[in-house]
Amino acid sequence: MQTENFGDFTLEQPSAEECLSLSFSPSARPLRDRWRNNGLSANFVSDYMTTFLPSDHSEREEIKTAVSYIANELLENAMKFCDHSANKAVTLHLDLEKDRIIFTLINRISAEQKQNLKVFLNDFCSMDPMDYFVFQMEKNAEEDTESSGVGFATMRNDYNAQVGWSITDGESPEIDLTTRVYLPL
Amino acid sequence: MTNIQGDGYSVCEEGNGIAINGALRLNSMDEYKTIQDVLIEFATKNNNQIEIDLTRLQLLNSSGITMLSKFVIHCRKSEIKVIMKWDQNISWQGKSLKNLQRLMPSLELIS
Repeated sequence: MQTENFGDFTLEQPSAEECLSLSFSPSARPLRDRWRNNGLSANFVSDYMTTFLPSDHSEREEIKTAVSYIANELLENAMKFCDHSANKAVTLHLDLEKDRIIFTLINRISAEQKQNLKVFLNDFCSMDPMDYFVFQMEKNAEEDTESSGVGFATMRNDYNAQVGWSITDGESPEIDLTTRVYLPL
Repeated sequence: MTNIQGDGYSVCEEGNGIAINGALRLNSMDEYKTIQDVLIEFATKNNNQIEIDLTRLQLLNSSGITMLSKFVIHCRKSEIKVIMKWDQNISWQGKSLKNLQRLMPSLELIS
């Protein structure tokens, strides 16, 4: 088993006061049919987690929006880019700590997806997030292509989140991708 | 009159511009192209200016942010004047819309 880490990925186990786990079957139905569930699930975890914030927390609404945005982006990515032939569940886990929420999303990817992801991560992790955002948008407008990583750039730029990835090669062809987002409260 | 009614969102022609309302989380740039085309068509017909009312747009995913970014870059290159109305109570808007000004410095944001 071989593991490669990128960005702000840390192995430490969260010391959670509250946690929540959800599992999804990305290959059971066509992507189009399950797309709406990404938003529904994101709104649910956002409502669930912000329930535990102190009622007088000054940024309650901002945190609720951030949690919904991040959860939705993670689920959208996982549904689009998982290895559908593997028939393996996508799991989203949230840990609420005293001063941050940690999102952990695990999905299986193919060898080709792994190569594309590594190209993206090498660019993304070496640039300032705002510079990356501008660079991607200008490139996208020029080439009329689908830009990648805008969701992660937004998490870092707009919500001060840290983002990290861990790719684990198991027995061929099993490759598991763990994406972690740390949202400060 | 332009009017798109989708699942949880709408895009409507209103006065001097277009209002985008609801929660917009479409799944690709292909799906967003219809909305982008509506914005470009309106601006072109309206003497190269457009007001986009986002004050009732509660949620927007990253593909939606990409669509708005592509639109403002198009407007910068085509010298189209763009005004975006936003709501300070919708927290994503203040952050994400200011990023668009990096792509189009003349973009006017009104809250």
